[in-house]
Amino acid sequence: MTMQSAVIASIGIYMLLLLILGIWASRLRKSNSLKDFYLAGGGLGSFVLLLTLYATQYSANTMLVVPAEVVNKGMGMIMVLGYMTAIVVFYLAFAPQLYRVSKREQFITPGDWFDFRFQMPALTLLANIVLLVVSINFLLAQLMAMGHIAEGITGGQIPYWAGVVFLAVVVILYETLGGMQAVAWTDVIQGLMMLIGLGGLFVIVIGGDTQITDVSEWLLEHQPEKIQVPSGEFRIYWASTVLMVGMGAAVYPQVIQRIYASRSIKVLKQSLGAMVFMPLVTVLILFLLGILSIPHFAEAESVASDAVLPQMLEIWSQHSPLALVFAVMMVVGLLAATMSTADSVLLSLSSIVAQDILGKSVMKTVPEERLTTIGKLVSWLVMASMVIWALQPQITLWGLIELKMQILVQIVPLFLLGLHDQRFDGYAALAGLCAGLFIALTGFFFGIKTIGGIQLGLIGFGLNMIISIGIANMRGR
Amino acid sequence: MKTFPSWVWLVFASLFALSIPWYLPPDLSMMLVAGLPLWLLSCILAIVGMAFFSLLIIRIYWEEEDEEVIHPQQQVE
Repeated sequence: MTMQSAVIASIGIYMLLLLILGIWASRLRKSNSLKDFYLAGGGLGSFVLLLTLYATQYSANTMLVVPAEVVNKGMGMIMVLGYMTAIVVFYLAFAPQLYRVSKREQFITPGDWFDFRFQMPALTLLANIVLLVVSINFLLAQLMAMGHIAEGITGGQIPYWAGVVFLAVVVILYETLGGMQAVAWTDVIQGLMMLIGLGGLFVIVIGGDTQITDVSEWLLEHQPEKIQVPSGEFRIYWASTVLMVGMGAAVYPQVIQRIYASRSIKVLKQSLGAMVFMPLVTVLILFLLGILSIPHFAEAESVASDAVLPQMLEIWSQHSPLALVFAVMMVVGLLAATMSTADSVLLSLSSIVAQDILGKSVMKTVPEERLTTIGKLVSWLVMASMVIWALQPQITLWGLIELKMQILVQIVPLFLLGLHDQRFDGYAALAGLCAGLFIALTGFFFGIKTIGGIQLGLIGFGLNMIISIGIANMRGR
Repeated sequence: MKTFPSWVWLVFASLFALSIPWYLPPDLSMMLVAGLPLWLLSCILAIVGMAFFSLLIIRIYWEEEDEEVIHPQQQVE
């Protein structure tokens, strides 16, 4: 059996499994309340919570980019391991406190926290706009990745457009049926597939003919710039990226909602305690696989970010039948990774629109069950618009995706200071947020990403914190 | 209410500083250990340290005493 036919058959089985899970999850749901639909009733156990956090945080982009960047830029890309670990460390700075409040006050969305803590509608609105912009871009990126990956791994048998439309329909179907329950369980399957595929493949590849020592020695001789200590400016960029992505990705709305959805503190502790090791069993393995791939691309000047892993999987799958199984798991896992990130983003996006924007304004008096139905309708509308957008890539706002983390990090003080500084009020938060966003957006429009190697988003965040703390202290007196 | 004592963040900051390769002399940096240059290995070790330290403080300092009681019917697993 060739890898391609095994992949196509596995994708078919996986899609069927997703739909069955959706139906099963819809029967498990007790009611049509917002909490049941968007937070699985707030009862996720540690195993499900860990894998849904994992699947949501690790998109196919992460999986594809790491080996490709190692091949293109060299060992300095170990920086990705740093920021994926930093994300979990930053959870520890606010998750314990946020969890307690969220259970007591029955939060559904990040906006519920902003409302509860700051009681300033303008601030909640601005923060929600930032979260919506980030989520829409994230979702669009996942849809486009779905199309590209489906086309790539089936050798064009599933064209880009069919990949986008078909997979988007599957996602919206199981999500509408089962809400967070379905999303979390599909994440479990995806997470397990990725971990087993990656781990199994690594064991086989590391025992193969090419050794890391050989590659390092070859690099020292032929491409020393890829193995040498990165330059001073790159190290500044490295440190600022770890801080910016570490903080920013910790406050993705879909992640915040997973904290709310935890069944208990014990569950949250167990999940985060395990989650902090996930970069080591995912990013580090991908990094080492990237090093082992370098000789295969020795002649190429630059390799496309989605080219290295699929090509290497094809090569590695020929080692043995077991290697083929792991490689197929990895390939289907890549597709599943885009879907699991897309479903989580879509779910949190629709909850923000239904609960925060409609439920707190024009639909204040609408019963909760109806708001859930409206939320589902919002999901369909958002998905349809995003599919149309993704089918015409020439008019996409790809550039905005780069803006994502630069603006998302500006939300961090609303959690960090909001939970730890009593004097930090809505005025201080709004002023800080506006200042941070101003810096990030100005940089975006002028095409400036870094100053002296420092990520502009982090500079904006610094200003955001200074203004927030300064105003909070002045008003606190 | 603080969950973790302040010194914990100093340890994280130190491990973060150790995870960026700026402190090893050039000759030592490029020494290959287990096939990887020492500068890279020290970055990885600092991150491994960060992971184990996180697990340790979660176990020691994150208390569960004010646990909210949730009705068993709400449990998923």
